Amino acid sequence: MYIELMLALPVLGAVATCLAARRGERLRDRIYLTELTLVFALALAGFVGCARGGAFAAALPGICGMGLTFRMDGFRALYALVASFMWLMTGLMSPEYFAHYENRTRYYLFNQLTLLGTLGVFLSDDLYTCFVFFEIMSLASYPWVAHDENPGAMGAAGTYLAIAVFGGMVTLMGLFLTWQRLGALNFDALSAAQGRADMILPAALILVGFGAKAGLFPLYVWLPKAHPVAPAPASALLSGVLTKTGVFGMLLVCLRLMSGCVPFGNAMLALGLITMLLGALLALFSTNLKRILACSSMSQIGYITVGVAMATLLGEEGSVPASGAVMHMVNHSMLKLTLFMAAGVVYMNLHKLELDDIRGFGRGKPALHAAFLLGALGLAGVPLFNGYLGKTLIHEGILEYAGELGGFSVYNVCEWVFLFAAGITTAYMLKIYVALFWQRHPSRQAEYDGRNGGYMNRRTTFALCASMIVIPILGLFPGILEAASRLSASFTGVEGVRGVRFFSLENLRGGGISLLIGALVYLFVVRKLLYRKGKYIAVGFEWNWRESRAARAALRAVDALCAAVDHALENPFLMETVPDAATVVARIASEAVDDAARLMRSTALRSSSAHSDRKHAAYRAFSHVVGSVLNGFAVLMNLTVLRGNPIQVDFTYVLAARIYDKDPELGRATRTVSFGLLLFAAGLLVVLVYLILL
Amino acid sequence: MLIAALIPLLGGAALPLLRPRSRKARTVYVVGITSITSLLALRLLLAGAADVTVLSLSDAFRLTFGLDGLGRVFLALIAFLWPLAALYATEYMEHEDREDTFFAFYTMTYGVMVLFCCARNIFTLYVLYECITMATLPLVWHKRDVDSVRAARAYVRYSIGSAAFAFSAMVVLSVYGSGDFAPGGIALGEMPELLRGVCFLAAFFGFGVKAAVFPLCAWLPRASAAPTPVTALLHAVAVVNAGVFSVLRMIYYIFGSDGLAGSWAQDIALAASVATIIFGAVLAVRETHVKRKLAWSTVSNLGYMLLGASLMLGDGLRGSLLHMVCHSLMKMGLFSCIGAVMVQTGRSRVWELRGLARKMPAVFGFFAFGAVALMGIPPLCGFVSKLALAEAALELEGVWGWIGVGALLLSTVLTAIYQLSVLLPAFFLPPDEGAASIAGRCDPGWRMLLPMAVMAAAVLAVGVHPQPLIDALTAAVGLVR
Repeated sequence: MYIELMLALPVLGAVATCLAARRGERLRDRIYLTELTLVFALALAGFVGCARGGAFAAALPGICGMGLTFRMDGFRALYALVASFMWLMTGLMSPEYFAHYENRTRYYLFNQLTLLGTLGVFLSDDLYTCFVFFEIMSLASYPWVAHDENPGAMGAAGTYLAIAVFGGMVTLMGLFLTWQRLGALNFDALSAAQGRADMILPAALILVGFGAKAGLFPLYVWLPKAHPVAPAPASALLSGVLTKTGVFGMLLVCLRLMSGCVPFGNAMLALGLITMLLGALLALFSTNLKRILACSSMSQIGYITVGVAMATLLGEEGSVPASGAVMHMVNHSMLKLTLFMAAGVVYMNLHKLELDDIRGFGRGKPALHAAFLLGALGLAGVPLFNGYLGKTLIHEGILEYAGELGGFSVYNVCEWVFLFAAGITTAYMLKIYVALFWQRHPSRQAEYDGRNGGYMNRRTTFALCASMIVIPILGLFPGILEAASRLSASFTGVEGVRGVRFFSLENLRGGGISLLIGALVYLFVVRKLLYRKGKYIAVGFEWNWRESRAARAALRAVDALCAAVDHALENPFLMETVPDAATVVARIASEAVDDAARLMRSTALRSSSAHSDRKHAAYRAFSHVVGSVLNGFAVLMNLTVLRGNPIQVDFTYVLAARIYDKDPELGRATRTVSFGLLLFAAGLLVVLVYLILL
Repeated sequence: MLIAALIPLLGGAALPLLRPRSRKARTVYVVGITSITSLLALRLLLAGAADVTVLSLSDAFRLTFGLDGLGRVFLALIAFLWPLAALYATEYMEHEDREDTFFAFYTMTYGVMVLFCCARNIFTLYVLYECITMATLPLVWHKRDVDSVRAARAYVRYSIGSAAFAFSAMVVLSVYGSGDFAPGGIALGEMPELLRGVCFLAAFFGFGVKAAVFPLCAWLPRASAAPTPVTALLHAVAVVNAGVFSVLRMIYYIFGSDGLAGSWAQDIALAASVATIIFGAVLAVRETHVKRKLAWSTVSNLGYMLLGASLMLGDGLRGSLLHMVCHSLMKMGLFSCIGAVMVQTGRSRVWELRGLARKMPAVFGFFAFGAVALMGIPPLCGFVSKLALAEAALELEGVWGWIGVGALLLSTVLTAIYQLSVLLPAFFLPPDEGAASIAGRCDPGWRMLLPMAVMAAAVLAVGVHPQPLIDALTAAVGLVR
């Protein structure tokens, strides 16, 4: 009953908020927050229960066709807790953030439906349940992205939906294949099928949908578009939780089904590294606050993927990178929650996000400053803050595998790519931080300073503080996350870690190198190349070839790649010419019957005037004979039966008139191919009867 | 059973003679007649019926009526939907002329459909198949404008012309077997392999024309020129499903799935079904008139059912029936909504519906249910039936199973495109000037809203808990392997 209750609450809440919206906004907001608090309380209680070794299971046989099964244990309880915590925090901020928005009830409705979908994914115990809720979540989160209803939002939402539907269908195909080859979809069956060569294809197909949701290369295109246009609380959830449902699927497929499969692990590693580096570069070259954070999410998903890939490569010995991936998932959720909420505070005051416009807004605002600083430190992987832990373990995972192979291998290059991307992370966070909190706005600084003290209400402040406090706590007490990784062992299939020496010289060196790279990149790339005449220069999708020459060579490849993926969706040949041609061919085929009828009518069945005259003459003679016979019959009747009421009609005229005035449609009907076919069938019948009788 | 059919037949025929004085009287009359018929049908479903032979021309050609599992499914579907559709029509038709004529034929068609469900042999099926064409023809040309007459002409040409093939198949069959439906197929004696294949394809395409099988599907979108209640009930549910029903009868009750499975004739039937699915979906994407768009979507969905039918598996039959039920619920809801929009605002092109959701929240809310369900998003019913079909297709060993599943998934993506291209602008774009000037809300009255609400509720209920329905269908067709 426990899991059912947790899933029923969002549905009830959705209905209740919609009904309450008619009564007033305060009641609606109160119901919304109460419901989120209840879900959080349930998740917390469940997590505590699971941490003590318990587990909850539920099954709804027959629902949605194949029946749904749920299980709440270790990792799943952890993520249900993270998700409900994030929902509650963003929920606390929502009333203030949305104060000047329209369609708020719609937002709340779909927000709760997405919560249902997300919880369902995290609590599922078989791929089918996971997919059902994954689809609900994908669809229900569309209105978030489209919320502003301006062309930018609609375009981004369209891309989001297109990728979600496409990914969903490919995943479904993978599910069908799995079902056919294993005969079961529950997670234990996946573990049992570990190492089967014929499962590589289904695993890859399933990964497409989950990878698209996580923002993995090359299906990431929706992510940098959708996150910046969505309202900030929604961005925080999109980035912090919804991408993690994709990672959830990735963990399932890679660690349960494909564990130890080297080609698969290498492919994942390549995708992870590309995503990591590409996301970091895109973030570095952007100037929109939320876009930077969105690209950074993509980059961090790349880190997690690298962790998963290393765990896949290491197989049963992959406990270090697998734990790193799980830790970084949790850390990234918490960091992005704080950072996007801070961005939301900026946006709800200024309604602007470009760094040049918001520059200096953070001066003299300690709460905002603290939240952002903690988020930036965590994300950059500075020791004592939470991001450091996950990154360190993933880094160690790469080293472990490289060491296993011995000598210098491609994995050593991967390690340096990893450190470089981590450095860029530092650089772009530094860029935002300096712009927002240290630089001054050239004209409006006084206006910005005037808002100090009254720029957010108490509820928002509480939400922001509650989110940011988690960052140093997790960072200072690595034992918490280590325990989480051990809890996840039942899900990932590899053991967790215990007593890692995070602050050993070896590990600190990796962090130090990337911080150094970050400082250098900031000084020499950001300040020298991307900051000209007091303005930040954006490079990326909207990159202007004429202005900046320095980074051109390095970025041409990146840009071409983005453009190719982005423009494939708008390619006129692919999207118009091919379907046009196919349509013409199919139309011709489908109209063949009509065309044949038309052809017959204009050739074999054409009614020539001479022909019809002859026919009329024949009709006239026929009607005359029949009419005369009827007239004779009428005379006979008039003389005998109908003496009192004689028939006074000349049948020859009546019949002739009938034939001449006959419906032209009828005449045409006799000349159609259908009529010919009917006659053909009748002829066939006669022949058959003849044959039978013979 | 015959009473259940005669009441609407006679009641409908009497309507132009009675000439009800007021709209209200006519509404009560029409809804009353259809409800009574549905109640009788319900009794029939519960109590069952023995076979009745009405007319016997020869041993092979007898008009025999009775009720078996497959017939029950179709009868239940029709009996559930008809009173709702009639209720909807009574409000909708206030905007059209010649209501008496319309409702006369609308009611009479019900009687014909009841008899059609009860057909016990191929001859009866054929006769009633033609009767359906005739009874619905006046409904198609009801508006009497150029489009309607052209549509009616195309309808007759396709239906009668193709039924000729079915007719010849029937005659050939009568040489080799009895023609009475039997689960698993009748004994066809020493019928040669080649003749059996040819005969099956003649029947498949002959009866398939009403199910808009690929080369013969152009009539259906044109027929959407008829008033919306006709499109909603007849051209999304009754008539087209009659086509699928006949094909199911042919495959599983005459030729027998065992005899046909793996033959070249099955390959052709499967190819035609897959082509129907893709072709309908592609043209639905390209169409801009909303009603025709939905009609093309019907073509695509009928392709699903034909695919399930031509899999020649017990599960295929069940999937086909499940999709028949689900599609009827979804499509009738969708057409009802679009009809309401057209009546209330006079708009029918995709771009004219922009932002209308604000003006007609209830209608578009129900529309969203149907559209999302049709896309196959869980937990609504389209997902369940598509899943059942895909599972059945996977049971078919070899390449056709995969082609079938591929076609299902591809068409699902296409469905998403054509449904969302209507749905999203209606909800998320601002209304144009004409629509913005409509003051207040303009949802229609309860007689139109009630059927939509029932459909939306059914779509959700079947989607969330389909097991009872699946069990019922399994029981109904239990004898077929």
